[in-house]
Amino acid sequence: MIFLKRQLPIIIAFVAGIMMWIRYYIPSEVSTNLVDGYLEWVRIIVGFAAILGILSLLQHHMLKIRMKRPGFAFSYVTIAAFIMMTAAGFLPFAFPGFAEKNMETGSLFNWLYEYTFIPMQATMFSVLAFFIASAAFRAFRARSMEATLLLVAAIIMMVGRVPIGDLISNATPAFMIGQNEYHLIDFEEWTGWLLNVPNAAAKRGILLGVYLSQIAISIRIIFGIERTYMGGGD
Amino acid sequence: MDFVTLILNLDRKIIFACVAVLVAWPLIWPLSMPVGTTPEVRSIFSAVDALPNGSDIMIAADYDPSSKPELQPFLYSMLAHCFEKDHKVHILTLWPGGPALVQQAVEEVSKQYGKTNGTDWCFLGYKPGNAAVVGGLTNSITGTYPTDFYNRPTANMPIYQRVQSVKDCDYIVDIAAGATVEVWIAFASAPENVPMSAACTAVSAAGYYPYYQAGQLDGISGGMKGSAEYDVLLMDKYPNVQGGAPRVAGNAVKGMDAQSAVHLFIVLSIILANICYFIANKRQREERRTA
Repeated sequence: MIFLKRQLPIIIAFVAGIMMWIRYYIPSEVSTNLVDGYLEWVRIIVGFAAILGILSLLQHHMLKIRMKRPGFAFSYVTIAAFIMMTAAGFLPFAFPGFAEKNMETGSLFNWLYEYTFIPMQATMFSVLAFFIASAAFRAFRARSMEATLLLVAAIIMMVGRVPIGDLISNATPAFMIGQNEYHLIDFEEWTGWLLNVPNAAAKRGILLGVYLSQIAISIRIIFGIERTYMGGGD
Repeated sequence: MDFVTLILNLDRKIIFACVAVLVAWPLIWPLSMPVGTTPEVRSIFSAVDALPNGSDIMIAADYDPSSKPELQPFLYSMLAHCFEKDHKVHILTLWPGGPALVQQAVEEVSKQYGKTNGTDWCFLGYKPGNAAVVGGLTNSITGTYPTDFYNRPTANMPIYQRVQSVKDCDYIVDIAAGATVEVWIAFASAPENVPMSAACTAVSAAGYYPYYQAGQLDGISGGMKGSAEYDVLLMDKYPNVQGGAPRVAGNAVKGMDAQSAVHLFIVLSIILANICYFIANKRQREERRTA
Protein backbone atom coordinates (compact mmCIF):
# COMPACT_ATOMS: atom_id res chain seq x y z
CA MET A 1 0.00 0.00 0.00
CA ILE A 2 2.86 2.34 0.92
CA PHE A 3 4.49 1.39 -2.41
CA LEU A 4 1.37 2.53 -4.32
CA LYS A 5 1.02 5.73 -2.32
CA ARG A 6 4.71 6.72 -2.09
CA GLN A 7 7.23 4.90 -4.27
CA LEU A 8 5.08 4.41 -7.39
CA PRO A 9 4.23 8.14 -7.89
CA ILE A 10 7.90 9.01 -7.38
CA ILE A 11 8.94 6.38 -9.97
CA ILE A 12 6.30 7.68 -12.44
CA ALA A 13 7.45 11.29 -11.89
CA PHE A 14 11.09 10.28 -12.36
CA VAL A 15 10.48 8.29 -15.57
CA ALA A 16 8.15 10.93 -17.06
CA GLY A 17 10.51 13.79 -16.20
CA ILE A 18 13.59 12.05 -17.55
CA MET A 19 11.74 11.06 -20.73
CA MET A 20 11.01 14.71 -21.60
CA TRP A 21 14.69 15.56 -21.12
CA ILE A 22 15.87 12.63 -23.23
CA ARG A 23 13.96 13.89 -26.25
CA TYR A 24 15.89 17.17 -26.27
CA TYR A 25 19.34 15.75 -25.55
CA ILE A 26 19.15 12.43 -27.46
CA PRO A 27 16.84 13.16 -30.40
CA SER A 28 16.68 9.58 -31.72
CA GLU A 29 13.68 7.83 -33.28
CA VAL A 30 13.20 5.74 -30.12
CA SER A 31 13.11 8.75 -27.80
CA THR A 32 10.82 10.64 -30.19
CA ASN A 33 8.39 7.70 -30.31
CA LEU A 34 8.51 7.39 -26.53
CA VAL A 35 7.71 11.07 -26.08
CA ASP A 36 4.93 10.79 -28.68
CA GLY A 37 3.29 8.05 -26.65
CA TYR A 38 3.87 9.99 -23.46
CA LEU A 39 2.19 13.12 -24.88
CA GLU A 40 -0.74 10.97 -26.02
CA TRP A 41 -1.09 9.75 -22.44
CA VAL A 42 -0.97 13.30 -21.10
CA ARG A 43 -3.77 14.35 -23.47
CA ILE A 44 -5.91 11.38 -22.37
CA ILE A 45 -5.30 12.08 -18.68
CA VAL A 46 -6.19 15.75 -19.17
CA GLY A 47 -9.40 14.60 -20.89
CA PHE A 48 -10.28 12.55 -17.82
CA ALA A 49 -9.49 15.58 -15.64
CA ALA A 50 -12.23 17.44 -17.53
CA ILE A 51 -14.69 14.64 -16.69
CA LEU A 52 -13.56 14.85 -13.06
CA GLY A 53 -14.22 18.59 -13.16
CA ILE A 54 -17.75 18.04 -14.48
CA LEU A 55 -18.50 15.45 -11.78
CA SER A 56 -17.10 17.76 -9.11
CA LEU A 57 -19.25 20.64 -10.38
CA LEU A 58 -22.42 18.51 -10.34
CA GLN A 59 -21.63 17.09 -6.90
CA HIS A 60 -21.04 20.58 -5.48
CA HIS A 61 -24.33 21.95 -6.81
CA MET A 62 -26.38 18.89 -5.87
CA LEU A 63 -25.04 19.10 -2.32
CA LYS A 64 -25.89 22.80 -2.24
CA ILE A 65 -29.48 22.02 -3.30
CA ARG A 66 -29.82 19.14 -0.82
CA MET A 67 -28.52 21.28 2.08
CA LYS A 68 -30.58 24.29 0.87
CA ARG A 69 -27.54 26.56 1.25
CA PRO A 70 -27.93 30.30 0.48
CA GLY A 71 -28.33 30.82 -3.27
CA PHE A 72 -29.21 27.15 -3.92
CA ALA A 73 -31.77 28.22 -6.55
CA PHE A 74 -28.86 29.22 -8.84
CA SER A 75 -27.59 25.65 -8.61
CA TYR A 76 -30.79 24.50 -10.35
CA VAL A 77 -29.97 26.96 -13.17
CA THR A 78 -26.39 25.63 -13.41
CA ILE A 79 -27.49 21.98 -13.57
CA ALA A 80 -30.30 22.74 -16.05
CA ALA A 81 -27.87 24.70 -18.28
CA PHE A 82 -25.34 21.87 -18.08
CA ILE A 83 -27.93 19.23 -19.07
CA MET A 84 -29.31 21.39 -21.88
CA MET A 85 -25.90 22.17 -23.43
CA THR A 86 -24.76 18.55 -23.10
CA ALA A 87 -27.95 17.23 -24.71
CA ALA A 88 -27.74 19.81 -27.51
CA GLY A 89 -24.12 18.87 -28.23
CA PHE A 90 -24.40 15.08 -27.92
CA LEU A 91 -27.86 13.97 -29.09
CA PRO A 92 -27.59 12.77 -32.68
CA PHE A 93 -30.61 14.57 -34.14
CA ALA A 94 -31.65 18.10 -35.03
CA PHE A 95 -33.92 19.73 -32.45
CA PRO A 96 -37.27 21.12 -33.71
CA GLY A 97 -36.71 24.49 -35.35
CA PHE A 98 -33.02 23.87 -36.04
CA ALA A 99 -31.60 22.66 -39.33
CA GLU A 100 -28.50 20.89 -37.97
CA LYS A 101 -27.53 18.53 -35.17
CA ASN A 102 -24.68 18.42 -32.61
CA MET A 103 -22.24 21.35 -32.93
CA GLU A 104 -22.82 22.23 -36.58
CA THR A 105 -23.65 25.80 -37.61
CA GLY A 106 -27.45 26.15 -37.39
CA SER A 107 -27.80 23.63 -34.54
CA LEU A 108 -29.38 24.22 -31.11
CA PHE A 109 -25.93 23.95 -29.50
CA ASN A 110 -24.55 26.65 -31.78
CA TRP A 111 -27.58 28.85 -31.17
CA LEU A 112 -27.24 28.48 -27.38
CA TYR A 113 -23.51 29.24 -27.64
CA GLU A 114 -23.99 32.32 -29.78
CA TYR A 115 -27.02 33.81 -28.06
CA THR A 116 -26.52 32.84 -24.41
CA PHE A 117 -22.91 31.87 -23.69
CA ILE A 118 -21.19 34.63 -25.71
CA PRO A 119 -23.38 37.51 -24.44
CA MET A 120 -23.24 36.30 -20.82
CA GLN A 121 -19.46 35.92 -20.76
CA ALA A 122 -19.00 39.21 -22.60
CA THR A 123 -21.31 40.91 -20.08
CA MET A 124 -19.36 39.54 -17.12
CA PHE A 125 -16.12 40.85 -18.63
CA SER A 126 -17.54 44.23 -19.68
CA VAL A 127 -18.75 44.92 -16.13
CA LEU A 128 -15.04 45.17 -15.27
CA ALA A 129 -14.76 48.43 -17.22
CA PHE A 130 -17.32 50.06 -14.91
CA PHE A 131 -15.65 48.82 -11.74
CA ILE A 132 -12.17 49.75 -12.96
CA ALA A 133 -13.35 53.29 -13.78
CA SER A 134 -14.96 53.65 -10.35
CA ALA A 135 -12.00 52.07 -8.50
CA ALA A 136 -9.47 54.25 -10.37
CA PHE A 137 -11.46 57.37 -9.48
CA ARG A 138 -11.66 56.45 -5.80
CA ALA A 139 -8.36 54.77 -5.05
CA PHE A 140 -5.73 55.95 -7.57
CA ARG A 141 -4.05 58.66 -5.46
CA ALA A 142 -0.54 60.14 -5.60
CA ARG A 143 0.02 59.34 -1.92
CA SER A 144 3.73 58.48 -2.23
CA MET A 145 6.58 58.67 -4.75
CA GLU A 146 5.92 55.09 -5.94
CA ALA A 147 2.18 55.71 -6.28
CA THR A 148 2.87 58.90 -8.24
CA LEU A 149 5.18 57.07 -10.66
CA LEU A 150 2.53 54.39 -11.15
CA LEU A 151 -0.12 57.04 -11.68
CA VAL A 152 1.92 58.91 -14.28
CA ALA A 153 2.81 55.67 -16.13
CA ALA A 154 -0.83 54.57 -16.09
CA ILE A 155 -2.01 57.90 -17.49
CA ILE A 156 0.58 57.83 -20.29
CA MET A 157 -0.37 54.24 -21.18
CA MET A 158 -4.12 54.87 -21.07
CA VAL A 159 -3.93 57.91 -23.35
CA GLY A 160 -1.02 56.71 -25.47
CA ARG A 161 -2.59 53.41 -26.51
CA VAL A 162 -5.76 54.88 -27.98
CA PRO A 163 -6.20 57.10 -31.07
CA ILE A 164 -6.94 60.19 -28.97
CA GLY A 165 -3.33 60.01 -27.74
CA ASP A 166 -2.09 60.45 -31.31
CA LEU A 167 -4.46 63.40 -31.82
CA ILE A 168 -3.19 65.09 -28.64
CA SER A 169 0.45 64.44 -29.60
CA ASN A 170 -0.01 65.80 -33.12
CA ALA A 171 -1.66 68.96 -31.74
CA THR A 172 1.44 69.89 -29.70
CA PRO A 173 4.38 71.87 -31.18
CA ALA A 174 6.89 69.82 -33.18
CA PHE A 175 10.66 70.27 -33.24
CA MET A 176 13.56 68.59 -35.02
CA ILE A 177 16.50 66.82 -33.41
CA GLY A 178 18.85 65.78 -36.18
CA GLN A 179 16.74 64.12 -38.85
CA ASN A 180 13.90 63.13 -36.49
CA GLU A 181 10.78 65.10 -35.74
CA TYR A 182 9.52 65.09 -32.16
CA HIS A 183 6.41 66.51 -30.56
CA LEU A 184 6.42 68.28 -27.23
CA ILE A 185 4.01 65.60 -26.00
CA ASP A 186 4.65 62.33 -27.81
CA PHE A 187 2.51 59.58 -26.32
CA GLU A 188 3.57 56.95 -28.86
CA GLU A 189 7.25 57.54 -28.05
CA TRP A 190 6.57 57.54 -24.30
CA THR A 191 4.43 54.39 -24.29
CA GLY A 192 7.03 52.64 -26.46
CA TRP A 193 9.76 53.58 -23.98
CA LEU A 194 7.67 52.49 -20.97
CA LEU A 195 6.93 49.09 -22.54
CA ASN A 196 10.39 48.45 -23.97
CA VAL A 197 12.57 49.70 -21.13
CA PRO A 198 11.21 49.62 -17.54
CA ASN A 199 8.43 47.12 -18.26
CA ALA A 200 10.58 44.68 -20.24
CA ALA A 201 13.44 44.94 -17.72
CA ALA A 202 11.18 44.19 -14.76
CA LYS A 203 9.32 41.44 -16.59
CA ARG A 204 12.57 39.82 -17.73
CA GLY A 205 13.82 39.75 -14.13
CA ILE A 206 10.56 38.21 -12.95
CA LEU A 207 10.58 35.63 -15.75
CA LEU A 208 14.18 34.61 -15.04
CA GLY A 209 13.31 34.14 -11.38
CA VAL A 210 10.16 32.16 -12.20
CA TYR A 211 11.85 29.86 -14.71
CA LEU A 212 14.90 29.20 -12.50
CA SER A 213 12.48 28.29 -9.69
CA GLN A 214 10.54 26.04 -12.07
CA ILE A 215 13.76 24.23 -13.06
CA ALA A 216 14.70 23.82 -9.39
CA ILE A 217 11.22 22.50 -8.48
CA SER A 218 11.20 20.16 -11.50
CA ILE A 219 14.57 18.68 -10.49
CA ARG A 220 13.31 18.24 -6.92
CA ILE A 221 10.14 16.49 -8.17
CA ILE A 222 12.02 14.25 -10.62
CA PHE A 223 14.44 13.10 -7.93
CA GLY A 224 11.71 12.64 -5.33
CA ILE A 225 12.88 15.41 -2.98
CA GLU A 226 9.71 17.48 -3.46
CA ARG A 227 6.68 15.35 -2.54
CA THR A 228 3.96 17.87 -1.69
CA TYR A 229 2.15 17.09 -4.98
CA MET A 230 1.27 13.68 -3.50
CA GLY A 231 -0.62 15.32 -0.60
CA GLY A 232 0.01 14.71 3.09
CA GLY A 233 1.98 17.93 3.54
CA ASP A 234 5.53 16.48 3.71
CA MET B 1 -21.36 70.65 0.22
CA ASP B 2 -18.57 72.30 -1.77
CA PHE B 3 -17.16 71.01 -5.09
CA VAL B 4 -14.16 69.21 -3.57
CA THR B 5 -16.27 67.26 -1.07
CA LEU B 6 -18.79 66.51 -3.79
CA ILE B 7 -16.12 65.02 -6.06
CA LEU B 8 -14.47 63.00 -3.30
CA ASN B 9 -17.84 61.55 -2.27
CA LEU B 10 -19.22 61.13 -5.77
CA ASP B 11 -21.73 58.28 -6.07
CA ARG B 12 -20.19 55.52 -8.18
CA LYS B 13 -23.46 55.14 -10.09
CA ILE B 14 -22.69 58.51 -11.72
CA ILE B 15 -19.32 57.15 -12.89
CA PHE B 16 -21.06 54.00 -14.19
CA ALA B 17 -23.56 56.16 -16.10
CA CYS B 18 -20.76 58.27 -17.63
CA VAL B 19 -18.87 55.15 -18.75
CA ALA B 20 -22.06 53.68 -20.25
CA VAL B 21 -22.77 56.86 -22.22
CA LEU B 22 -19.16 57.20 -23.37
CA VAL B 23 -19.11 53.60 -24.62
CA ALA B 24 -22.49 53.78 -26.35
CA TRP B 25 -22.18 57.21 -27.96
CA PRO B 26 -19.17 56.57 -30.26
CA LEU B 27 -20.56 53.17 -31.20
CA ILE B 28 -23.82 54.76 -32.36
CA TRP B 29 -22.28 57.93 -33.81
CA PRO B 30 -18.66 57.03 -34.73
CA LEU B 31 -16.04 59.75 -34.36
CA SER B 32 -13.78 58.02 -36.93
CA MET B 33 -10.53 58.92 -35.18
CA PRO B 34 -7.48 57.90 -37.22
CA VAL B 35 -5.72 54.83 -35.81
CA GLY B 36 -1.92 55.05 -35.85
CA THR B 37 0.16 51.89 -36.08
CA THR B 38 2.97 50.75 -33.81
CA PRO B 39 6.19 48.91 -34.80
CA GLU B 40 5.05 45.80 -32.87
CA VAL B 41 1.93 45.32 -35.05
CA ARG B 42 3.64 46.44 -38.27
CA SER B 43 6.18 43.62 -37.69
CA ILE B 44 3.41 40.99 -37.60
CA PHE B 45 1.82 42.37 -40.75
CA SER B 46 5.14 42.56 -42.60
CA ALA B 47 6.12 39.03 -41.54
CA VAL B 48 2.86 37.47 -42.78
CA ASP B 49 2.85 39.64 -45.88
CA ALA B 50 6.45 38.82 -46.76
CA LEU B 51 5.81 35.05 -46.84
CA PRO B 52 5.55 33.63 -50.35
CA ASN B 53 1.99 33.08 -51.55
CA GLY B 54 0.65 29.68 -50.51
CA SER B 55 2.70 29.41 -47.29
CA ASP B 56 1.36 27.39 -44.37
CA ILE B 57 0.25 29.36 -41.32
CA MET B 58 -0.64 27.77 -37.98
CA ILE B 59 -3.15 29.96 -36.14
CA ALA B 60 -3.97 29.17 -32.52
CA ALA B 61 -7.09 31.00 -31.33
CA ASP B 62 -6.67 30.49 -27.60
CA TYR B 63 -9.46 32.62 -26.17
CA ASP B 64 -13.16 32.50 -25.37
CA PRO B 65 -16.10 34.95 -25.56
CA SER B 66 -14.87 37.08 -22.63
CA SER B 67 -12.02 38.31 -24.86
CA LYS B 68 -14.05 38.33 -28.07
CA PRO B 69 -14.14 42.14 -28.54
CA GLU B 70 -10.37 42.37 -28.22
CA LEU B 71 -9.23 39.30 -30.15
CA GLN B 72 -11.96 38.19 -32.56
CA PRO B 73 -11.35 41.19 -34.88
CA PHE B 74 -7.69 40.18 -35.06
CA LEU B 75 -8.66 36.64 -36.05
CA TYR B 76 -10.92 37.99 -38.82
CA SER B 77 -8.16 40.25 -40.11
CA MET B 78 -5.48 37.56 -39.88
CA LEU B 79 -7.67 35.08 -41.77
CA ALA B 80 -8.47 37.71 -44.40
CA HIS B 81 -4.77 38.51 -44.74
CA CYS B 82 -3.85 34.83 -45.08
CA PHE B 83 -6.56 34.14 -47.68
CA GLU B 84 -5.67 37.34 -49.53
CA LYS B 85 -2.14 35.90 -49.88
CA ASP B 86 -3.45 32.39 -50.66
CA HIS B 87 -1.78 31.05 -47.53
CA LYS B 88 -2.93 27.66 -46.21
CA VAL B 89 -4.44 28.06 -42.76
CA HIS B 90 -4.21 25.43 -40.01
CA ILE B 91 -6.34 26.69 -37.14
CA LEU B 92 -7.03 25.27 -33.69
CA THR B 93 -7.87 26.33 -30.16
CA LEU B 94 -6.54 25.27 -26.78
CA TRP B 95 -9.49 26.88 -24.97
CA PRO B 96 -12.74 24.92 -24.50
CA GLY B 97 -14.87 28.02 -25.05
CA GLY B 98 -13.12 28.88 -28.31
CA PRO B 99 -14.29 26.45 -31.03
CA ALA B 100 -17.56 28.16 -31.93
CA LEU B 101 -15.83 31.55 -32.23
CA VAL B 102 -13.22 30.08 -34.56
CA GLN B 103 -15.89 28.22 -36.52
CA GLN B 104 -17.82 31.47 -37.05
CA ALA B 105 -14.75 33.37 -38.20
CA VAL B 106 -13.15 30.75 -40.42
CA GLU B 107 -16.40 29.71 -42.13
CA GLU B 108 -17.37 33.33 -42.80
CA VAL B 109 -14.01 34.55 -44.10
CA SER B 110 -13.25 31.41 -46.13
CA LYS B 111 -16.68 31.65 -47.76
CA GLN B 112 -16.03 35.26 -48.74
CA TYR B 113 -12.70 34.29 -50.31
CA GLY B 114 -14.06 31.10 -51.88
CA LYS B 115 -11.57 28.90 -50.02
CA THR B 116 -12.13 25.16 -49.59
CA ASN B 117 -12.11 23.35 -46.28
CA GLY B 118 -9.45 20.62 -46.26
CA THR B 119 -7.54 22.14 -49.17
CA ASP B 120 -7.01 25.80 -48.26
CA TRP B 121 -7.77 25.63 -44.56
CA CYS B 122 -8.46 23.15 -41.80
CA PHE B 123 -10.06 23.81 -38.43
CA LEU B 124 -8.60 21.18 -36.13
CA GLY B 125 -10.88 22.02 -33.19
CA TYR B 126 -10.18 21.88 -29.47
CA LYS B 127 -8.08 19.45 -27.49
CA PRO B 128 -7.25 19.74 -23.79
CA GLY B 129 -3.67 19.63 -22.54
CA ASN B 130 -1.94 22.82 -23.77
CA ALA B 131 1.75 21.81 -23.80
CA ALA B 132 0.96 18.17 -24.60
CA VAL B 133 -1.08 19.24 -27.64
CA VAL B 134 1.54 21.69 -28.90
CA GLY B 135 4.29 19.14 -28.26
CA GLY B 136 2.25 16.58 -30.20
CA LEU B 137 1.87 18.96 -33.13
CA THR B 138 5.63 19.20 -33.46
CA ASN B 139 5.67 15.46 -34.18
CA SER B 140 2.51 15.06 -36.22
CA ILE B 141 -0.50 17.26 -36.84
CA THR B 142 -2.68 14.41 -38.12
CA GLY B 143 -1.49 12.16 -35.29
CA THR B 144 -2.50 14.72 -32.68
CA TYR B 145 -5.73 15.57 -34.50
CA PRO B 146 -6.81 12.41 -36.37
CA THR B 147 -10.11 14.20 -37.17
CA ASP B 148 -10.88 17.88 -37.62
CA PHE B 149 -13.60 19.92 -35.90
CA TYR B 150 -16.18 18.52 -38.34
CA ASN B 151 -15.14 14.92 -37.58
CA ARG B 152 -13.48 14.36 -40.95
CA PRO B 153 -10.22 12.38 -41.04
CA THR B 154 -7.31 14.77 -41.44
CA ALA B 155 -4.83 12.29 -42.90
CA ASN B 156 -6.67 12.24 -46.26
CA MET B 157 -6.98 16.01 -46.59
CA PRO B 158 -5.01 17.63 -49.44
CA ILE B 159 -3.71 20.30 -47.00
CA TYR B 160 -1.89 17.57 -45.01
CA GLN B 161 -0.27 15.83 -47.94
CA ARG B 162 2.79 18.11 -47.72
CA VAL B 163 2.52 19.36 -44.15
CA GLN B 164 3.22 16.74 -41.49
CA SER B 165 3.98 18.78 -38.38
CA VAL B 166 4.41 22.33 -37.09
CA LYS B 167 7.98 22.36 -38.37
CA ASP B 168 6.59 22.23 -41.93
CA CYS B 169 4.58 25.39 -41.26
CA ASP B 170 6.08 28.73 -42.25
CA TYR B 171 4.59 30.82 -39.50
CA ILE B 172 2.76 30.54 -36.17
CA VAL B 173 0.31 33.12 -34.82
CA ASP B 174 -1.08 32.69 -31.32
CA ILE B 175 -4.14 34.79 -30.55
CA ALA B 176 -4.22 34.36 -26.81
CA ALA B 177 -6.21 35.51 -23.83
CA GLY B 178 -4.10 33.49 -21.40
CA ALA B 179 -0.59 32.15 -20.99
CA THR B 180 -0.49 29.95 -24.11
CA VAL B 181 2.01 32.22 -25.91
CA GLU B 182 4.84 30.87 -23.72
CA VAL B 183 3.69 27.30 -24.50
CA TRP B 184 3.83 27.94 -28.26
CA ILE B 185 7.25 29.59 -27.95
CA ALA B 186 8.72 26.87 -25.73
CA PHE B 187 7.27 23.79 -27.42
CA ALA B 188 6.83 24.78 -31.08
CA SER B 189 8.38 28.03 -32.29
CA ALA B 190 11.80 27.94 -30.56
CA PRO B 191 12.64 24.20 -30.83
CA GLU B 192 11.37 23.87 -34.41
CA ASN B 193 12.68 27.26 -35.54
CA VAL B 194 9.33 28.47 -36.88
CA PRO B 195 8.87 32.26 -36.65
CA MET B 196 5.96 33.39 -34.53
CA SER B 197 3.87 36.39 -33.49
CA ALA B 198 1.31 36.88 -30.75
CA ALA B 199 -1.93 38.80 -30.44
CA CYS B 200 -3.04 39.03 -26.85
CA THR B 201 -5.33 40.98 -24.56
CA ALA B 202 -4.19 44.51 -23.68
CA VAL B 203 -3.63 43.52 -20.07
CA SER B 204 -1.22 40.70 -20.94
CA ALA B 205 0.66 42.37 -23.84
CA ALA B 206 3.20 44.07 -21.58
CA GLY B 207 4.29 40.66 -20.29
CA TYR B 208 5.47 39.48 -23.72
CA TYR B 209 7.93 42.30 -24.43
CA PRO B 210 10.98 40.28 -23.25
CA TYR B 211 10.10 37.64 -25.90
CA TYR B 212 9.62 40.37 -28.51
CA GLN B 213 12.98 41.96 -27.71
CA ALA B 214 14.69 38.58 -27.74
CA GLY B 215 13.36 37.97 -31.26
CA GLN B 216 11.27 34.98 -30.17
CA LEU B 217 8.20 36.94 -31.23
CA ASP B 218 8.25 38.91 -34.49
CA GLY B 219 5.55 41.19 -33.15
CA ILE B 220 2.90 41.72 -30.50
CA SER B 221 -0.62 42.96 -30.97
CA GLY B 222 -2.12 44.14 -27.69
CA GLY B 223 -5.88 44.22 -27.19
CA MET B 224 -8.41 45.95 -29.39
CA LYS B 225 -5.87 48.64 -30.31
CA GLY B 226 -3.55 46.03 -31.80
CA SER B 227 -6.47 44.48 -33.70
CA ALA B 228 -7.47 47.92 -34.98
CA GLU B 229 -3.90 48.57 -36.13
CA TYR B 230 -3.86 45.28 -38.03
CA ASP B 231 -7.22 46.21 -39.58
CA VAL B 232 -5.78 49.54 -40.72
CA LEU B 233 -2.64 47.96 -42.20
CA LEU B 234 -4.72 45.32 -43.97
CA MET B 235 -7.25 47.79 -45.36
CA ASP B 236 -4.46 50.12 -46.53
CA LYS B 237 -2.69 47.39 -48.47
CA TYR B 238 -5.73 45.41 -49.60
CA PRO B 239 -8.64 47.89 -49.94
CA ASN B 240 -11.01 45.18 -51.25
CA VAL B 241 -10.94 43.55 -47.79
CA GLN B 242 -13.10 46.38 -46.49
CA GLY B 243 -15.28 46.94 -49.53
CA GLY B 244 -16.01 43.33 -50.42
CA ALA B 245 -16.46 41.96 -46.93
CA PRO B 246 -17.59 44.50 -44.37
CA ARG B 247 -17.42 42.10 -41.41
CA VAL B 248 -13.99 40.81 -42.24
CA ALA B 249 -12.05 43.86 -41.19
CA GLY B 250 -12.76 47.16 -39.52
CA ASN B 251 -14.61 45.97 -36.40
CA ALA B 252 -11.78 46.83 -34.04
CA VAL B 253 -11.38 50.29 -35.62
CA LYS B 254 -15.01 51.05 -34.76
CA GLY B 255 -14.39 50.04 -31.15
CA MET B 256 -11.39 52.37 -30.78
CA ASP B 257 -13.57 55.51 -30.59
CA ALA B 258 -15.40 54.11 -27.57
CA GLN B 259 -12.15 53.00 -25.97
CA SER B 260 -10.60 56.45 -26.55
CA ALA B 261 -13.57 58.18 -24.94
CA VAL B 262 -13.57 55.92 -21.87
CA HIS B 263 -9.78 56.08 -21.42
CA LEU B 264 -9.86 59.87 -21.61
CA PHE B 265 -12.73 59.97 -19.11
CA ILE B 266 -10.86 57.72 -16.66
CA VAL B 267 -7.66 59.79 -16.98
CA LEU B 268 -9.50 63.09 -16.47
CA SER B 269 -11.47 61.70 -13.53
CA ILE B 270 -8.25 60.41 -11.89
CA ILE B 271 -6.59 63.82 -12.32
CA LEU B 272 -9.68 65.61 -10.97
CA ALA B 273 -9.95 63.24 -7.99
CA ASN B 274 -6.26 63.77 -7.19
CA ILE B 275 -6.54 67.57 -7.33
CA CYS B 276 -9.54 67.39 -4.98
CA TYR B 277 -7.66 64.99 -2.71
CA PHE B 278 -4.73 67.41 -2.37
CA ILE B 279 -7.03 70.39 -1.74
CA ALA B 280 -8.89 68.43 0.94
CA ASN B 281 -5.58 67.38 2.55
CA LYS B 282 -4.33 70.97 2.56
CA ARG B 283 -7.56 72.12 4.18
CA GLN B 284 -7.31 69.45 6.85
CA ARG B 285 -3.72 70.47 7.65
CA GLU B 286 -4.73 74.14 7.95
CA GLU B 287 -7.67 73.26 10.19
CA ARG B 288 -5.38 71.22 12.44
CA ARG B 289 -2.87 74.09 12.60
CA THR B 290 -5.53 76.67 13.55
CA ALA B 291 -7.19 74.34 16.11
